[in-house]
Amino acid sequence: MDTLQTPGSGNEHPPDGPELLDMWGDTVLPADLIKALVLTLVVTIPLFLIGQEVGSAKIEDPTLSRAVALLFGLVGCLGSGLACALLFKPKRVIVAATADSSSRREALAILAADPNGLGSVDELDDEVKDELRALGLYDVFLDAEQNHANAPAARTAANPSLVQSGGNH
Amino acid sequence: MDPLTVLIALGFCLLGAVAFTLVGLISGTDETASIAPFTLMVALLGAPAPAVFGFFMSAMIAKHISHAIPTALLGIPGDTLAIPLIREANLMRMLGAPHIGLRKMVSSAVIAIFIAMPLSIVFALLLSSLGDAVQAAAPWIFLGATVIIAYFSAGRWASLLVLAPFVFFVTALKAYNADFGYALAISFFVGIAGGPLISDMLRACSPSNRANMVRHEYRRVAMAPDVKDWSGYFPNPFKVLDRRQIRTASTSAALTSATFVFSPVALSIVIGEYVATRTKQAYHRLTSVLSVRNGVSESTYIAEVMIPLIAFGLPLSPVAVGPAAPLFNAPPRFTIDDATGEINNLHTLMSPTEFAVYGIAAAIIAVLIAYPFAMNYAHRAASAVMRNVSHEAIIAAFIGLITVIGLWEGGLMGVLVVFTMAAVGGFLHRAIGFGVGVQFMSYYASVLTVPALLALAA
Repeated sequence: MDTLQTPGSGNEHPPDGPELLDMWGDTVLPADLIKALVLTLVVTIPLFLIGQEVGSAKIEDPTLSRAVALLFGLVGCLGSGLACALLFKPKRVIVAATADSSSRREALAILAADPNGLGSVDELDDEVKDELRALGLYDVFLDAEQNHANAPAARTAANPSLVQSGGNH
Repeated sequence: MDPLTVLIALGFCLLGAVAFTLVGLISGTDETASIAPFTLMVALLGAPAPAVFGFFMSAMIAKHISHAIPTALLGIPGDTLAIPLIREANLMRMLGAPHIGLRKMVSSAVIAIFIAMPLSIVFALLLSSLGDAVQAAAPWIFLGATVIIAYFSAGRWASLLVLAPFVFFVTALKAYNADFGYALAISFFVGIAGGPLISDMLRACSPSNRANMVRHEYRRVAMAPDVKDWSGYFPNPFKVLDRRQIRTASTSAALTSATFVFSPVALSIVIGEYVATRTKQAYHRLTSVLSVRNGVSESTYIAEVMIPLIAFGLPLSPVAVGPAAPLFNAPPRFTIDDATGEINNLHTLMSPTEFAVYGIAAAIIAVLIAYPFAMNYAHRAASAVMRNVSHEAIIAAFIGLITVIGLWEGGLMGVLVVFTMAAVGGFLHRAIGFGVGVQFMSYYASVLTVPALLALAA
């Protein structure tokens, strides 16, 4: 996939900077993560304990007084989460992905390897054909299916051993 | 239904829809750790029963719609339900049409919502005549469901083999708590939900494991360009999908609203594969699989909440024991007595008619807010989240949440249970694929099945 740097988002990590970690699906800077955790726990736990005191001192109904403690704790989480978002910047670079001919070719190759292959645009209902045309993809799929229809035949002629493995397609 | 209750309930539906449309944009926000604590708070603050139910339903529906945005535009799963859609979503991005993928996904979800909501109620009513029998047989039904879910988890045979030791571990931990006078439940669930994160954090502290997690440059997130090529504000799902996709989405939503034991992820994979084998042309296959998978995960999710809630009052599904747990169990307001089996929760507080009315109201409100948002502002919203919300902040808030829930339920003991469950469950999940859904079910197998087994043996 061709990627272009969007102006203004260029906060690249210096190559000699501290090491980053891939954790739970995204990237973190360990020092920032530790600071964020400490901040959150230092805010949230005391706030919860205050909520518990306030709840049991001021409110008769035990259910409601427990709810107040929980409310204080949840507000603490949201507040410190917000503070962490302001203090610690994301370790991501956002790039604009432009689908170009090479990423399309790659996608078409992956789809052609599926059990059903590329299929044929001829089989589609008119409304789906229109949808493809509006996206400018109708001819892309038409070309691809014709190329794939010709290519395997040419390959098997050149290399007979592919005939046996052809069943995998 | 007095007018004030109706008004409060609608207000909470609106609140849930707005808040969780935004939460859904942030990938990695697990429902058990996000929707469940807030639903619990709404319940404990004394909101009327329909308001608690409406808040949960609209939050869940709105989040399911908006989590399709990072899935389609960034290739990052919004939450676990979106994982089966990643391959097709990425292929749509490579073809330059992720916006079409997104629209197909959310439109199919909207159709699925309005099919699953009434149908799951009908199905629940059919099953509720069996309610007493089901409650009597609950220990064995939970055992059966847990075994089935274990078999269909990533770990397959390993999950089945580790099931008994894990249930025994939960039983022992509960017994230890009981010695100190604690009766913890939610701490176990948020601990299990926190497992995957805690196991990653522990690995990062171990030099031998850390080496596999290190990287030296920022993560590159490729974002698809913004395309708006339809007019108006409120989209029509029947125009976004073609006729065959509407048929497939509706049929599969109808079928899956009768199921409530299987995980939404598993069902969405299986039905997506079935549609893939029946769709020859590649582009049509991509959009059809995306739409049917997202529709199925939505309809299954709704059924897994509605059916156990209306028919049994017992959390008899992976969703009901996890994200929807506070609808069944929010002591002291909502309780299920483990010893006597006495139920006092939304099941006893609301009639099936009320479930239908408030369920559909919550669905309408959530769709009115989240659906046009996803169709119109997806690109700007996803971009703002990626640029401004760091992963450190998400992790810290998540750890804060599970700590507060533990403290709230059982003080220091609660916190210890949360992190013990997270460490043990997280590693079983990572090492052998013993999924979070099976772990949730194991808790109930421990509470219900183990005493019944011991009674049989005695």
